Amino acid sequence: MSCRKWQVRILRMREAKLGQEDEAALARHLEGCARCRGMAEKFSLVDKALLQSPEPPMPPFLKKKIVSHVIGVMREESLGRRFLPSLGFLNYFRPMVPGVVLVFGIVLGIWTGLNLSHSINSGFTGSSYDLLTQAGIGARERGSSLDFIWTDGNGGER
Amino acid sequence: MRSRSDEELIQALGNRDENALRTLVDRHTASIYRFSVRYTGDESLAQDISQEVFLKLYRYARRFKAGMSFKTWLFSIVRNTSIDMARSYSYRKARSLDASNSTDLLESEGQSLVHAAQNPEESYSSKQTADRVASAVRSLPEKQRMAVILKYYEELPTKEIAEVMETTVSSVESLLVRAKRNLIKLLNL
Repeated sequence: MSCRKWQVRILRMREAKLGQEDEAALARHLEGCARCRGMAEKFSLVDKALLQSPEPPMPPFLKKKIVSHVIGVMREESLGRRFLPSLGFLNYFRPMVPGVVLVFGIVLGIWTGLNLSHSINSGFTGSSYDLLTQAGIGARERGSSLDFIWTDGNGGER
Repeated sequence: MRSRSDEELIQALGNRDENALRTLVDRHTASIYRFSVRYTGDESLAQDISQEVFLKLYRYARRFKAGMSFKTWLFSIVRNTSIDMARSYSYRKARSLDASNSTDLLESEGQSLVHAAQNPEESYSSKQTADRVASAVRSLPEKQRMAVILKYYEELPTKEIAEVMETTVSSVESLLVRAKRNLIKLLNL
């Protein structure tokens, strides 16, 4: 076992955490190892120095300062909750959010597409019929959904 | 009237009981402040840390579970708050707590402390001895310093120190041995 591991045992021994067998083994090692013996003595000097060092003085106003700060935050939060309605019920709707966003996106896309086609169509035909109408309903009335390509806005040939 | 336990007080604090807060502040400010001063070496920062710790106690009070050790829980919060605040940008300029610098710091600090110890007048001054010890502890690498403060000044058992530092008991023991070896050098023992 390395000296470092024996030094951990010295630490445990000082806390009375070693079993009898381990303590006897440590004692045997210390008899034969001057380095660990010296370290054990120095460890106790370090312990003494640490335990003798005085406590840093606490500022007298600190407790009052902490109490007033934390109570201030507590009251602020309490006041906020009293005047604002609880929004906790919104949590029930949280799982629906992706679906709602998707549906909204699709509806927005269709609406934008229809408007775009309407504006393109109006540009070509000068009428209020859009491309879909031309391709569907308008085809029955005017022969072909693509007639607008060859006819001007007034029904004459281009 | 029976005084309430820390566990009862923290549950009451979760229900915004101001008296519970006052009692907790009365009981624990000194140890939180002491820990922070010893850890950071900065009194002003230690005051900020103490205040922040109580704010966190209030905010996290409902997370405290029955059966947990209050002291371990408290020092976990103190430890994390101290690390975060000490490392924040404004304080980093003034005091480097970076572990990579700790070896250099240890060596330079060691030389000055050895020099101080060679002066007989200073050796007999208990105030200066205390300053030397405090300075030596502050110049330890971060984890060793934390372990020493919790062990010697807050008197936590090794198992609880391991819980606070989120590590194993054998790691804490190893940290303490290394810390002591460094302190022997720094204090010229």
